[in-house]
Amino acid sequence: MPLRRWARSSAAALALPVLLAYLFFVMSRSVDALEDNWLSATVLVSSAAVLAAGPVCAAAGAWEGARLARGGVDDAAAVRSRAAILAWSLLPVLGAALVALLGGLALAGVAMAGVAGLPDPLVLAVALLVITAWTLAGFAAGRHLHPLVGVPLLLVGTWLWLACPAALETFWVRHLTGNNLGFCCETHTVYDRRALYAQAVVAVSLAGAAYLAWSRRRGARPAWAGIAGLPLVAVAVAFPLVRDMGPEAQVPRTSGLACGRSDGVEVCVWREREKRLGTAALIAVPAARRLAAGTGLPAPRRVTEGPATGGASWRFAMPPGAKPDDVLFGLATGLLPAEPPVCGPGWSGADAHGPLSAWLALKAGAGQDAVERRTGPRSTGAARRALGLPAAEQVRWFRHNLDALRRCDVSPSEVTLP
Amino acid sequence: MRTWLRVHRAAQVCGALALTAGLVAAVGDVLVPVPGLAVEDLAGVPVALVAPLAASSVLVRGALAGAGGLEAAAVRPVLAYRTGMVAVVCALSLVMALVVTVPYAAAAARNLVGFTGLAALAALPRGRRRDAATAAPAAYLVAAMLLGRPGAGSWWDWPVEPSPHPATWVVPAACLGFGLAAPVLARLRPGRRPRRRG
Repeated sequence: MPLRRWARSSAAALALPVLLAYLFFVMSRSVDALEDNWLSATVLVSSAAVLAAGPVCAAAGAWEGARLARGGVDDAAAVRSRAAILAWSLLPVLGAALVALLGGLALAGVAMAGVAGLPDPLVLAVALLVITAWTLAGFAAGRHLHPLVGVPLLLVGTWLWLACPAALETFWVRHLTGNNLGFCCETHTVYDRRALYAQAVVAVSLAGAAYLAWSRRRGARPAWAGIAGLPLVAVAVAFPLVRDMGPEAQVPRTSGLACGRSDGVEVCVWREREKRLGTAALIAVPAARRLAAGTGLPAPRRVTEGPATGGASWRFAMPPGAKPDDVLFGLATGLLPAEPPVCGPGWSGADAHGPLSAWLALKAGAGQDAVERRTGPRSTGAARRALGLPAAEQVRWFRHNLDALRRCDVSPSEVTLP
Repeated sequence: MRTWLRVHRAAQVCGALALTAGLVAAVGDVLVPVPGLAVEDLAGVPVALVAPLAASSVLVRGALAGAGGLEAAAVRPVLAYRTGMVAVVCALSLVMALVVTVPYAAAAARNLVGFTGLAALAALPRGRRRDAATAAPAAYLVAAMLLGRPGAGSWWDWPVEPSPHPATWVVPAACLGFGLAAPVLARLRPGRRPRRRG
């Protein structure tokens, strides 16, 4: 068949404008909120592509599957394999999905101009796998269902499977769909690969079951075993991968730092922010020295945006648009415990968090107005009162209240204004 | 009549209606996040408003099933059977919505009427495969999700309006009424012979 006629006669010709419009619509709502890393752009593109192309390609698959069934491929003498017959109908639909995905990547590329890095190929590959699986599911449904039933059922059914789990409080379901909620990740986090592997397992099993359902000969019992068994295998493999995951598939990032030395201290930022390494060193190193002197803690040998132990290495953050006061506040509050201790009701240690944050930020050199905006006037007032104490008294006040934040049996001291 | 019901998949239509009713009762109030052009935040569409598309598609498939040529020459009033089947199912959904106290039941019944009416309208132009009826209800639903602004003044975006206030019934009822009446009226026009369909 001539290629143009082959492509024009496919449902993909109708599906492509629809899914392109929906993809650009979904992306346009979020492209301004992208983080300064390519992973967030890749996840947005893959999420929009799956949400737009998944249902539309499934519906197009149901249409094409019904066309093949109406054409009599089940009953006619075979001149080519079932896989070849399927491929000639499947390729235009998948081609439309690929065009949409590349269009989304082009849009993301414009938004990410100047950000170092490349799209994550694994995220994109899983997105294509999910779209292929749903398209095959459409072909399988189309073999048995009239388009009047198959097309709306696949369109809405696939969309519900992709969109609905985001509204459920059972978090693990959302990590199986491939939708990825449209957002991941901040620069200090990476996508949890377990979710990608689980999505790939579900997609492969769906594709396998759908292919068996489409290609099985009438009355062939072994095919039914595969059609029923593959989803069970997928659940058995994918569920343990995502069972313990929270609402978002983010885990802390541990690699990808760009480091330099300044005044004897190693300063590290994420490699996407390498251009700002000098500025970061100028702000963070003197502030770290001021904090060490003010709190009596040993001066750090390393200040970093990456993992920090809290002893010899301190943590800070320098996201795009951050002002020096924001960087100082982040460095100062990085000295406080990230999580409260597990105490019973009546624990009052949390009262110390605001005054300690304000005191540390002021010690680091942050402006009073910026500190008050972040911690509130009461916390800043308590911090100012503590700053009026002699240096040794201030260190004692800091250590006591730091203990109150870490332990259940210590109450905060002098953290409220009279 | 029994043969007609079997050819027009009456059992499947009943099954789909029961399944949809169960779905609306069980998870109808789950909100599915949908990005909309007309609203800033993600709007949530209850599953109950989307589920009737499944029952509607099975109903329309059942109503349009059968050999057109045979039915055009049939002695029995098959057009009345078909119109009656669609009307009875829609009426049944309305009765169920009135009887049960399930959230969004009335809106779900309205959407069943509306989707069926849209498909009936789309199937009016004579064509063997009725391609437009395949996509029209789903396309209208997606358009309403993207462009609709549910609220007190809703009328055209009834598929995403959770409350069944009277204005939202106008378009669905008109679609169903016209979609069912048009073939009957065409049959009643004097001097016009029904066209043979291939």
